[in-house]
Amino acid sequence: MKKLKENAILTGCILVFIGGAFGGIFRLLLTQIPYIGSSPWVIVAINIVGSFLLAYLGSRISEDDEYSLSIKTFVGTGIIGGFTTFSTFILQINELLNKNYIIAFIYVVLSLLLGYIAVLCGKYLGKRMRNQ
Amino acid sequence: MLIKDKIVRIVSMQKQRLDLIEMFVVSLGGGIGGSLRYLLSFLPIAGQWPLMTILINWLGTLLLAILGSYLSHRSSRLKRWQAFLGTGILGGFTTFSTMLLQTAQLTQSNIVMAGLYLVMTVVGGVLMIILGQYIGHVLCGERL
Repeated sequence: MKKLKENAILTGCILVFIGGAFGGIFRLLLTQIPYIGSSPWVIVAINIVGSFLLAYLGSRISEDDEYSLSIKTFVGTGIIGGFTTFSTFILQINELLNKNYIIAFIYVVLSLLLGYIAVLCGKYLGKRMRNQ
Repeated sequence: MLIKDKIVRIVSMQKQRLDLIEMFVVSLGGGIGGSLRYLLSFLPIAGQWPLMTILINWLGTLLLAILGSYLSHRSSRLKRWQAFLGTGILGGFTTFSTMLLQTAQLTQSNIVMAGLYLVMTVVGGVLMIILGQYIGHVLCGERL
């Protein structure tokens, strides 16, 4: 567990607040694209892209100094954490379960599987970029 | 579909896209939700499991289900409350990316636990939706 002073927590909180606001707006805009925005697959795409970016960020930047920790808090916890969403994902599963079990199952498996692959890709790429 | 209908649909969608108040309330809510998640991550919960992420995701899902079933009984004027509380606060509070990142980290140490973590999070989330919808209906039953 990271041990931070109260001051640092307050700074982090402000960073996460601003980042979370951006993440929320990005998500809102993507779900309002005409025709395809209301599809449950937009949430899948948002979550996969976010997972990739978070894993990339995590292995690209080290936590050695305060500056990179701030970047991680702002972009990772704030923007990406606010961009991806779990609650809507589960809500979509529930709606699909009421219509078609098979599609709901495919939805869950694809989200988790592709998201997991995205995490692995992000980690790998981040490490490579960091070593270069 | 007639071309005229299509144009009407596109125009109404563009109007929806330019709802600045909705954007504002979602960004405010996203900030609040994210900050809450950040602060909760400092609470010491011992154990190998990323328990806090599970709790955050379950709680957010439960509240979203309650909100959804409560607001579905109300007038459409509350659409912005839905945007603020649901899309903003709860959407920003719960997180999918951290969950998967933790799953990947757990896989390296214990693959069974990683699988359990995923299953618990998702199955528990669906149960939270069902519970939340029930609570929402009860709340509305009393008020309507």
